[in-house]
Amino acid sequence: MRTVARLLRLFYYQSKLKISRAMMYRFDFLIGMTVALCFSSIGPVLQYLIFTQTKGFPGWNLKQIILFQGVLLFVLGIRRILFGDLHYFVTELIQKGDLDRLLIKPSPAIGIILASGFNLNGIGTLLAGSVIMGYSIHALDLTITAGAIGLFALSILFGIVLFLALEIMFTCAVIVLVNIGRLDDIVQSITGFGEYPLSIFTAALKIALVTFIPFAVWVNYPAEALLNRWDNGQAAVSFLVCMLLLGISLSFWKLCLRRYTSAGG
Amino acid sequence: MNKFAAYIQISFKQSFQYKWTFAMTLATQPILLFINMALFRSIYDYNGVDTLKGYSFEQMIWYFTSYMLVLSFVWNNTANQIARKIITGDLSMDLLRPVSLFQNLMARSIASRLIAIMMDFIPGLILYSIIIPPEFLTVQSLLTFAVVVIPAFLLNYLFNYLLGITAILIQNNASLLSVVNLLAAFTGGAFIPLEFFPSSVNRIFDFLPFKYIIYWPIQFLLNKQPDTDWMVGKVLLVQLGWIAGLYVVYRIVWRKLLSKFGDAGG
Repeated sequence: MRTVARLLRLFYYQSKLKISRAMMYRFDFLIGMTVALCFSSIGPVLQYLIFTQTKGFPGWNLKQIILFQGVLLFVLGIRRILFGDLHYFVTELIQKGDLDRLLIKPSPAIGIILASGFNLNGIGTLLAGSVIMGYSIHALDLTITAGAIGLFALSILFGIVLFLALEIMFTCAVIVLVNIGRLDDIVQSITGFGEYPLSIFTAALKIALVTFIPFAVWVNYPAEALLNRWDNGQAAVSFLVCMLLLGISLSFWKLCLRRYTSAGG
Repeated sequence: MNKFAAYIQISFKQSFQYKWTFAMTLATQPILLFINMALFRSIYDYNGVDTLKGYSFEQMIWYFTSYMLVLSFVWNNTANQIARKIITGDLSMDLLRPVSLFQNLMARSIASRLIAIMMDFIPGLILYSIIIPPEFLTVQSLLTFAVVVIPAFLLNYLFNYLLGITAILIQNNASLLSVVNLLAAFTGGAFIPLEFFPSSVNRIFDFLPFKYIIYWPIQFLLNKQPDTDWMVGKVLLVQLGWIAGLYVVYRIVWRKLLSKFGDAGG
């Protein structure tokens, strides 16, 4: 527990440092934030176009899908803020042989790595997501109870746990492969499954997205919580698998460290 | 011309060392293809239609896949390469070479596209055809695609070259490049068929070059044009018009901007 608190403190200091640095180049920060916002808004705009030009897809009307897209932007914003710099950091670390330096620090190396991903540019996406969610809740005339907020927060929390597991696995892959090429793109493509409502997928894929690869936890569950369509059993299974995947990824990490040979020189 | 051909040959050899990087799309695209298949199967079934905005289910899935195939022909990194040369001062060395920077970078782009066609387009066409057979595809549609995608490459190259030299004026143009590239992809139909946009928006897109780089080559590959000969002529004419226009702009702007370029290296 003390280690986690120490790592959280480390993340706080790293973030503070990066914010100070970003404020030195305010114009670049503003442009970077705008670019991040533009990129993350493509998905919602496309879904809006699909919904306005067709009847959409089962289980969702236009207002509900806008809420879904708001949640998606909110989650993408959180992901970028927490882990936005991580892939670049890890790649540099392994390719330059700097991981050796982290291995002799008092805190666990993987903890230090995960605490280094802060990227301020995600703030625009997070804010846009919050505004869209607020608008949709108003437009749908939803009553948001304390319970719904709790379930929403719980889903976001387990979504972060799942991201952590994926980021640890990504780090393991970089340790093994060193030169990862476009592994980043592959990870992004796979996580794309979590960015659509479960109802569009086949029954088998739906089960997979709830159990083995519980990507539904990122956007589907928080959106369902706000829409009062929460399924306790389904969510419990997904949360459990998220924790299990985190455990598996940490075991992988230990295994990879044993195989690690410094690439620096 | 011999010098230009030699540049292409050398660039080809250099880029071929990293040939598997070109093939990475083959790993990511099938995943996106499956997501699109799930998404559009659900939309077609829910709407109870066989065609949507004039696209059959197969054509719709292939629309998104075709974008990747078009990129095998038209993509280039010229804007970033020029910007880096300007910022680092490497441009000075390039100006001393027997081949102009314009030709030098074009040779590199052609070489990289030749590898992309070998490593990405051809295997991709086979792999995606196994996943979802393109019944609409004919030899004629493939040939027509080839005819319009070559000027599309030139057009994209010129546009990127002009975008890259903005670094002489604003130094760090990385964010500008990101925004413009995103807008180009959006207005060119890279993310969704342009038929999904309101017609008024499409009229605006007509005045931009990007749909002649992405949308039209895809249309011919999907065999979506009933009156093909007439449309090919029209598209080619507009593409050539844009190429000529941008080339004139390049000739004027390049001379003026070059006079502003100062290398601080020693």
